[in-house]
Amino acid sequence: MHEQTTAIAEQPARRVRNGSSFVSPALTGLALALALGVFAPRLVVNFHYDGLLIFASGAAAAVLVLRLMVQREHRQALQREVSQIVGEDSSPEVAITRILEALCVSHGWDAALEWKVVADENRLEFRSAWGAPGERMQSLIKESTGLTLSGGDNLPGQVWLEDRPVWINDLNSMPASPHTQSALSHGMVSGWAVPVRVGNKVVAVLEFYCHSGIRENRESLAAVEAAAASLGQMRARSHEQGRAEELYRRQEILLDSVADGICGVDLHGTVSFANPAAARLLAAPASTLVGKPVHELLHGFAPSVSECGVDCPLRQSNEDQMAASGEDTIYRSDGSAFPAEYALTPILDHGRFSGAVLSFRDISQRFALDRLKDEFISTVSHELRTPLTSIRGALGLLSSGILGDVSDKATNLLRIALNNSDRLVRLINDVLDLERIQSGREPLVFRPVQLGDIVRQAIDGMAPVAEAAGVQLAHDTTQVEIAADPDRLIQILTNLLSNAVKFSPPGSTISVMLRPGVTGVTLSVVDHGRGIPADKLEAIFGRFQQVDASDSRQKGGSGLGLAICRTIVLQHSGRIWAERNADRGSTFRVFLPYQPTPVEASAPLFDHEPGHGTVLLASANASLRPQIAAQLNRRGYRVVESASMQQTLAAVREGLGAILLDTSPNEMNGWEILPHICRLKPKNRTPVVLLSVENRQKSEKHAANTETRAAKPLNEDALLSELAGALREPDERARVLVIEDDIDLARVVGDLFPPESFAVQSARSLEQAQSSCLSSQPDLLVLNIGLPDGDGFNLVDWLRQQEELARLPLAVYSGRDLSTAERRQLFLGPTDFLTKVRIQPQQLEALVLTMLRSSRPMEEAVRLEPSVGIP
Amino acid sequence: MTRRILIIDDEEDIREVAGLSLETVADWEVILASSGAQGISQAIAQQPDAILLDVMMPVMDGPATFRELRSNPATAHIPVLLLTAKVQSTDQRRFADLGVEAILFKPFDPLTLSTQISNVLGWS
Repeated sequence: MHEQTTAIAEQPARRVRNGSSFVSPALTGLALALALGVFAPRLVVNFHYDGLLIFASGAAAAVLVLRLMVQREHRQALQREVSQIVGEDSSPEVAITRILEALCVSHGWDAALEWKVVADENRLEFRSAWGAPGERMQSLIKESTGLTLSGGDNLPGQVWLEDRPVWINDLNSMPASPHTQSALSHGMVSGWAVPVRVGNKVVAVLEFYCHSGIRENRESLAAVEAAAASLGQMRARSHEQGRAEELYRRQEILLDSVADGICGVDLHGTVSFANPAAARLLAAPASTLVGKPVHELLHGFAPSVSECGVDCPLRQSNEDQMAASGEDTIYRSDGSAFPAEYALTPILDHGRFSGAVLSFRDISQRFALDRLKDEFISTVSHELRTPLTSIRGALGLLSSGILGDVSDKATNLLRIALNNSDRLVRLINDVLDLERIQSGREPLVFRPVQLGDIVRQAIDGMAPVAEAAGVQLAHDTTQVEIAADPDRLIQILTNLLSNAVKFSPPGSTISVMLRPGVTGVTLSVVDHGRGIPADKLEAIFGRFQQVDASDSRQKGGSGLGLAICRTIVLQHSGRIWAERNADRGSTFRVFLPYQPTPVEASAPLFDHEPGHGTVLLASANASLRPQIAAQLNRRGYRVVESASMQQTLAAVREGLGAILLDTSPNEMNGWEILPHICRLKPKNRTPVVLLSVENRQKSEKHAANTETRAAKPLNEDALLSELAGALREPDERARVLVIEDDIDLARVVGDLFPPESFAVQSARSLEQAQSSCLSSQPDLLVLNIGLPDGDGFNLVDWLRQQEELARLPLAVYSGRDLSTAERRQLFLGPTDFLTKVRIQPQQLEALVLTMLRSSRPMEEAVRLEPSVGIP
Repeated sequence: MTRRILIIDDEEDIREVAGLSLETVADWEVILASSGAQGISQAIAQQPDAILLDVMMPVMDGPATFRELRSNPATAHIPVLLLTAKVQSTDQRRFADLGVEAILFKPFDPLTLSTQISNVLGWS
């Protein structure tokens, strides 16, 4: 079918040679060709067309050349038009109709149809069309609309199936089918179609009809194929775009619907977007979150009392571009706090840091659940113990024979019952113990201990059991001192020894050895029992995991002993593992560092003692600093120490509650630093307390800048009241609720508060306190821990559940010193503890002022103190 | 030497087992009370040598009963031992702070209960 058209090049003439000059194609070429034809008939013109040389001469050559030139111009103009349509960024549907129109109009064709390939259903589907004006073409299009063709069906089906252009000079030669019939019935004579490809896949077919019998020709084919290629590119692009849009839309839906707060973080550590959940969690519009540094986002709303220091992991990980995750307190825009779990994950693009993703979620519900679980376990264990007490007691008395003779068989049965009730008691104890240790509610108390002494104590404790089993206990006499919780160490050793005894044959020896190393000591308990299978060496540290399922019945263990050991060892930053001995038995090894870094793995966030604020203690005096820091620490201040001017100024930049400056003439003199601090943060109103021994004159000129002075040698109460004074807010009568059942004592406590600054109310019972708190919310609670109708613990529990009251400042006093665990149960807002007999009026007042100040958000405090602080 | 012990516990079974234990193992005289209020009046009337007091009781619990006993001159001198199934150390510390002589734990060993009491109170 190519007979006539093979000679006509697909490509424009590449060059026209005329002597030594080269002339590019297009219009100049046309002029040249005409000139050649007219004035140089003898000249041989070489046209390179697709590798073929055509030799022509005279006028015939000129006509051929002219036709080629015109066709080429025509095609180029068409191609320009198509490119323009494609480039106009209109929808593919609009663009395609225009392209079809341009093709038909420029060639004088009647209709063009686009068929879409639906590959998974193996069919072509009519998608769009253009028809020449007039009823015939409109009918043709109408009849094609909604039509589907299968592979090989009609012109388009054949093109799709054969994946190449097909040209039908006479439609009558086609096999009869409705679509072809429709074209014929509307006067169409010839038709052709080309595939539209994306990559090498046919995605559509373009079909053309003409009312005259146009024979297949290269020029027309080239024009439609070029248009089809443009269309394919456009389809591909719009497909990609669609996919990107779809992806974006899905991501947006995802980000909008997740409950976790998710923020994008840019290269500089600033939030670049925040999802609605983030906005909701932080109680601030998402737009206000964008642009904040990550640390600022989560901790920026913290009231000044709760400001974190330079060591805040979130702050550091963001600065260091490191991943971070954990639990922390996050602050809402109103300054209120909630416990949260967060993860900051850096994004590495080809190994280069390109930002991060921050996600966080509120876990207060989990906290509430944890508390519920604790209560549940405590109650259940109590409820289980009560009936067990009767059973155990009755069995004990019966089996002793003290109530009369019991037959041997009955004695045996009673022994079984007794052993099993003991086992049940151990199980309850262990469950409770494990829960208690793992929850972190009873933190370890680390102090220096001689490990050798601990080993001896544990061995002494186990001696009766070992003796009964006929097993020897041996230990070496190495003495090593480590920092550890001695009670917990004994618990570990007792568990390990008890296991060893249970599984050791009579007459064998169990040895305990200590091997001091570089960073810690390894303790080994070696037995010659039946040993542990290799695949169980690790599993036995899980809960209720024993080597043999029957062990718990035969050996009376709870199945929790090793889990308890591992938990305790981990809390000592150590490791515990089991090994198989070469000959017989097993060895349990415990590595304990000399100095553990205490990890209260899952210690509840709100159990951390809230400070009254961060105080910078700037003094070059190395002996004075620890002393003052300890005093301030005791009172709940967080102390940042600095010994040089650089350190001091760096700390000031971080933001502080107050600055304590030593003015003694030393390496670092407070008088010299003061102007620097003023310059550094001219708008800062951080109160500065000067500690001075001498040089009073000098202080005069700075007096306006600083809050107050405390004289050395230091008196704790004086320092605290100075500090409290510095933080005091004038013109505010604070409401104090004194909860005390003794009327006289309530009056004494009430009188401690100067009436010009305080309005004191008192409550005599838990119930009164509750109603008083609800009717007029106090600024401070002063609580006697021993109330008649329920102790202070109950009141604090109740307060914690009241949204409005959960962060009230609280001063607790009691007739005795409270333990750390008890104190932890009593924390509300800023909380302090006083002992009844030791309380001094100034102390209470200073404390109360400090607590009132620290319970207010920073902004408010600053606003209320326009005349104080550094100008 | 015969001692007179008042057991205050709302659980009848425990009262009985503990009573039986002290009577049979140590040959002590035992007075039983099933509530804090009953215990207090028994203590006033019978003047026992020691009181074994349960912690979790309805109406008036162990600590409340103890405070009442201590505030009444007729019973303030009688040593009190708490008998409790609460083993959490926070609870223990709270009880210890009340000023009781000792805290004994449930379940107890009926064969050594009297020895435990004697040891705590320094009875020979």
